[in-house]
Amino acid sequence: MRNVVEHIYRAHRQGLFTLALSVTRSAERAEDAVQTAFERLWRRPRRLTGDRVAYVYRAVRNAALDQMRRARSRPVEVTLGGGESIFDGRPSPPHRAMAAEDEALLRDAVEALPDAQREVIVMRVYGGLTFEQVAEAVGDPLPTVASRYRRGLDALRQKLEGRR
Amino acid sequence: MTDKVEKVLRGLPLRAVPPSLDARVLRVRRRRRRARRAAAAALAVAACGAALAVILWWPPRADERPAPEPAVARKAEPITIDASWATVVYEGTVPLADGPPLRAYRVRTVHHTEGTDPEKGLSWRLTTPKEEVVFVTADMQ
Repeated sequence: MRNVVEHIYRAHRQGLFTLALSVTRSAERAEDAVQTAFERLWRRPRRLTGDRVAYVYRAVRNAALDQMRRARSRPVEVTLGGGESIFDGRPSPPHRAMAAEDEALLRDAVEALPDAQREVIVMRVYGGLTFEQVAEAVGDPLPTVASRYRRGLDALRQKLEGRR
Repeated sequence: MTDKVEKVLRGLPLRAVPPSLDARVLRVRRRRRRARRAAAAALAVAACGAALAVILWWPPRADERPAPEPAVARKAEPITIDASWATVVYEGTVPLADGPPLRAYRVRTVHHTEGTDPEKGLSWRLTTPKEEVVFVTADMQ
């Protein structure tokens, strides 16, 4: 079972880190969250029930939310403003069809989405999870998750269209 | 358009996983694995020690114990009971013309035999009566 956990980590490390970063808005806290989640998973791997990938995402999300709760209880450590982005700040390769300005606009739009919508998009787009897995990871019904995803993408599309 | 936005999102470069994260996560894994192996090794050593102590000091020692009887199926043998009864009755003197008189004794003997053969599931009972007259010369007494 521990090998399964390690396999999931290696296959989803980018998605998991991005999810944690999306929640905490801090690379340091995101690392802490992922590490804490895997410590728990390796301590009690038998708890890994149901969809294992979804379970791991749920564990990382919960650890990230714990990080945020702890950070809020220590006012000195609260990060004001947008915090760290889930995206790499460097421009995409030049062969991309999209203009750099549009990319920057899209990145900002993703960061500005409500947390719940952004988390679903991160898990679906960057984690490669199915809607069922996302629903299991966030603990909400499937229609709610699908609706959140659609609303998030609609918001991003409107941002892009408004730019043009 | 939705699909297009999704496609564009997939193309946006993400902030890379810091190398330190792999080290931190997998270090925990290695640490737990080492701890588990160490615990297993300690347990094995303790078990060996306990087994050795039992072999060395536990009374009685294994080589001093009586050897168990071989598990050979005993053959069921027939059992026989023999008994004899005799009665002797003096029946008088018999005079002889050419010698000393004889005393006559009637001896009745009953020989009884009974037995069972558990292997064959048989049982028998045999009673043999015997009667004879014994003459004893008077001079013999």
